[in-house]
Amino acid sequence: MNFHFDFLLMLKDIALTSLDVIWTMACIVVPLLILVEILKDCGIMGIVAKKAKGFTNHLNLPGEAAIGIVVGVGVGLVFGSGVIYNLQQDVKMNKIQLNTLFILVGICHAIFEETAVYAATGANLWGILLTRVLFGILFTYLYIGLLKLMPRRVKNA
Amino acid sequence: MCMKDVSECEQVILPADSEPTGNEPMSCESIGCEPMGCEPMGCEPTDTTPNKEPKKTIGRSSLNGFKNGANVILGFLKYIIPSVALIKLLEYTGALLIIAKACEPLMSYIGLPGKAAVVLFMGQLSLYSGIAAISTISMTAKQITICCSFLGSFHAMLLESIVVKRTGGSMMLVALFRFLAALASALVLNWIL
Repeated sequence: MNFHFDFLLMLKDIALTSLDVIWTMACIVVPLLILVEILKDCGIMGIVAKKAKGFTNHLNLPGEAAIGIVVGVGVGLVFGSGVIYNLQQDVKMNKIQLNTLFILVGICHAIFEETAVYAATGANLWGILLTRVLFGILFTYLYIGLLKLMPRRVKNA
Repeated sequence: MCMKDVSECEQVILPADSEPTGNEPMSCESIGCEPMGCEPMGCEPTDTTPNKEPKKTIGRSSLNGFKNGANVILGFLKYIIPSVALIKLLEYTGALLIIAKACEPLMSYIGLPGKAAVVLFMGQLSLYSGIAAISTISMTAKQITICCSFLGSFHAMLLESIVVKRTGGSMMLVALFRFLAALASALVLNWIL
């Protein structure tokens, strides 16, 4: 191992790489967020949430969870779990409903923004998008299926 | 909602601007304001919900979107610069090679090079640290896709576990499911691509 590395060269490398990463991300994230904001102001969230209500009933979730899922899956900004924390303040859900939501939104959240950021690094866009959505739904059903095998825990919750 | 309103506004405003027929109850020119000032007036009867916020237009929405974007990018800075610095430090001192060699057998199961262990670890601090790490370490497109997919399902677990716990969910169970989903998606992508 060589510890006598060129410190100045490293600093320059750090600065250039950081700038490169930030510029690539800015080119993707800013236009995308403008588009998302326009769509949001057009009330598209409400329309999609109405459609999602059938899905939430299917998962034994309260109707209000639909908007949480749509916002979380669509535009969850910093981290997906935060959306559900806010939702829990309005609608009290039991532990099983919370876990279902956390698994679904935890696995596939902010699909537009995060996918765009990933795609900016050079990843296959459809590969990421499809696997996240697919496994998000798959593992949510897996959790519900496992619960049905253990009826005792459902009663306790 | 917004699109509908704007189109309706134009229908109200345009005839008044192009050819004032006199059928309009009160056009903008008659009260001596600019045509732009007409917009909220023409829209008010169609807007049924009581809304105290300023009228939403495409221009205002895109300005808000731009502000959000700028905030997000500024927020990235505090994750990206330390992450890039840490990885470059590891690389320049040669520690990266040692870590890569140690993690090689585990990472090869999901088709990743040993160096990617650093990326997956950085991703647990915050997603954007992971992204910065991906951009810093050179990998093939397939490896980047697998890495991103893994991080997409399983990232920032330190922070998210705390949120899950505080909301009242079970921390271990959610983390376990997310880890399994991440592993499954990495395996599937490694198999397909």
